[in-house]
Amino acid sequence: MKKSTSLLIFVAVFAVLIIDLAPAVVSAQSSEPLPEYIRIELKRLEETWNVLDQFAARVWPGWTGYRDVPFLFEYANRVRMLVGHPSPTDEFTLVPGLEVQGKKVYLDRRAEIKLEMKPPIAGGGGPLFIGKEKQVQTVWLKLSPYVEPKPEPGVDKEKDKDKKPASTLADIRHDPKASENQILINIHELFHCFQRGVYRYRFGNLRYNTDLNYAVHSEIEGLALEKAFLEPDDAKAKAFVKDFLAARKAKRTGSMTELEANQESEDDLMEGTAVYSTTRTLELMKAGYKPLIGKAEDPFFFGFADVAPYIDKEIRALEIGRSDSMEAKMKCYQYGCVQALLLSRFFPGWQDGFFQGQKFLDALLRDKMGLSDADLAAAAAGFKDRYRIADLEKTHGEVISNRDKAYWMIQARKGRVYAVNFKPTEEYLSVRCSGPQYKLGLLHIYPEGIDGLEIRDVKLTGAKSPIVQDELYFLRWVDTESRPGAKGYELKFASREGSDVYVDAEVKTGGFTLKAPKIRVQEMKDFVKITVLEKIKQ
Amino acid sequence: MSKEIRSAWIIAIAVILFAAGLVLPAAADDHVVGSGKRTYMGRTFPPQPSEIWLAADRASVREGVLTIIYRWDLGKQWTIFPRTKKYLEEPIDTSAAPKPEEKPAFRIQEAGWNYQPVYEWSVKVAGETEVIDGRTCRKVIMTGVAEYSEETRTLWLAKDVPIDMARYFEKIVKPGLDPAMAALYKDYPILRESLVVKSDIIMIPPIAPESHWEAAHTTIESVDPPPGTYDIPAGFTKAANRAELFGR
Repeated sequence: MKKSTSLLIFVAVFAVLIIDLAPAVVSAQSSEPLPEYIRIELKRLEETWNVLDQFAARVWPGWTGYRDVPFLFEYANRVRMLVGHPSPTDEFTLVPGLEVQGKKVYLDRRAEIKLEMKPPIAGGGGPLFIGKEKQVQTVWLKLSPYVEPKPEPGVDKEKDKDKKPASTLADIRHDPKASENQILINIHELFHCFQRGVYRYRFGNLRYNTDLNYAVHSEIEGLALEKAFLEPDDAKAKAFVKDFLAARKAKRTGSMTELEANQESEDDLMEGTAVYSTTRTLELMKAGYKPLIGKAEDPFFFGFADVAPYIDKEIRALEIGRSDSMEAKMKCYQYGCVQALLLSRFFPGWQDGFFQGQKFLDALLRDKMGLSDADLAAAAAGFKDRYRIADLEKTHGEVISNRDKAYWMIQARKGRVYAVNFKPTEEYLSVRCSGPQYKLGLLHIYPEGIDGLEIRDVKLTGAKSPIVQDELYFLRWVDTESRPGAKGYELKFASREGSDVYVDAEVKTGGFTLKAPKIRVQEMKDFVKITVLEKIKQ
Repeated sequence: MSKEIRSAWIIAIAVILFAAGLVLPAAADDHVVGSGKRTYMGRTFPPQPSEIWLAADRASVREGVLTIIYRWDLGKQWTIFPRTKKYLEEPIDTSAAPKPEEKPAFRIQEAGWNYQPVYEWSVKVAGETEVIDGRTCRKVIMTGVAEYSEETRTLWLAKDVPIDMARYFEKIVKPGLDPAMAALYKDYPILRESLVVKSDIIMIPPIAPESHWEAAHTTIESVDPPPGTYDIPAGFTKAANRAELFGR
């Protein structure tokens, strides 16, 4: 789920292929054609099954049953589609005569809003247990139309275009707009569903913020894994695996509780093997793959003609992720995947009974390599020179110190609180910020304020004042100059509904200006809550 | 049972049990039976039963499959888990002065992960009444707004109930009230002087979809309990900790 979320957020780049779409599918007993984005979605789902039919058994022994996992697609226009579910909840209506390879399709269009769903559509999600009478594990995906990212301030695309080589076809093909990405996300989530049938999830997600010791040794872990992965000589590669395990031990001894260590290893197992499933699938595709659909069915699908960029993306993600001073959670995708790839390289057959054995990837590596505490201590003794610890401490120390200062600065701000609630928009916030930003838990701290954010017809403009994003859907700003009895903000609107709902409204504070088609403003004793009720202007 | 579900259950049970006023014959024990159901993401989960027996110095509280027996006379409580046939024994602190809550030491590693809503509550006592199972009930709506969460509790309150509600409040409901809710009960006598016969709770957390809880009592009486109601069931063995209790 977390990977998919990040994929949704990082939807980027440009190069749009404008291709005439094939005529819309019409269900057998309905005169209303299916919307284009839904027709493409069903084709991508068929292609997902086609990929797994060809490779699943070779990716992981015993991986079957993927066709029986239902999918729930939730779109930004509030249309929901359920495919292949044995017990849909009441909001869903069967689409008469429409089946996808024997799977029934249900739609919920009760809350549909006027929002153009122009393909390509992208998004992420995770497994959920849903159903009316029978609750079954379902892949849930939240999807939105691709949005062209705004250029960073100071970047002149036209002027800078000659500084980089033009995009290659491969670059375009692994652009997040390509349907291959969505098919890989489908496979990733289906692998999670498989895992949950054979592995007993015990410790829960890691909820952890880094400290200096963690950041330094986590980067050494990543460096060692990358070196082990790229090193052709087995003995040398195994020495790097030992470094990885030694760094992990030093990291945890200094910074983590036993529960956090177990959560981290379990995240490596869950997410790492899911990334492994797609990476191995891509590797197997090199030897031959027969696509089921073509451009007529999905103009954004390239038939996995060139898989190298998708594989390269994982190792590049390892490079980028390992040096992130504040990141603990997202590293599990690549760190876990590389551990699994190394197990496959050195210990073929390791997957047999792996999930059932309830042993973590790192523990299995250590066991199979027969490493003692003394071995790991000896490896760690050499880190100072081999991994330039002083440099790492300097780099990470500066970031973490600034992060902690920002946290305490935010905590110290007293005054009237303004909480802006974007949850009803059902879209993640993509905050634009040209200044520093720090992350602690679900808090994203912007000590010098933000430039702004947009969600369809909702626009928020920031100011040079500290603000935080929290709990995914909220912005929180504290007016330190608020005075008792003073209103503290300006509110303009075209019309009013009831006592606290405003249409075509603008709220102006010292920390932000919000314009939205419909909002609720609740004035509480200690805070003002502004809820965005509509994102599309009627 | 997840922490969120469990806390919602506790709220539902606490709300439906709360009231005050009537004092009953000392010989019989209070007995309240009910059930509640949760609707989440379009699915209504099977109803979960609840049953409470309460005497002067002991109580048995069952929520779903879990039962907690309070023996204030012995200074102990037993948590009973039928699936493992285990029970966990813990001391009950009966001293009058509550101990100040010990705050765990701050760890930067945990900052920003555990949002706890602080609600500002408002209460609306509707004028209309409704008869439920022969009892005249008044509708009360409690609305809680926090920075990132919201909660609405619609309650149907009856004064005419044959149990010792003052005792219920002191022994079972009051210990579970947070300061804001305790203040609310203090400000609104109707909350203290009535039993919630039916409740309907909508919780809107910051990230997850909203949950809907409906609960009602089917039996409210003062009767003698069956033998063994306040004892460890036969065949159950002592667990050393919660993990052993739940078979983890």
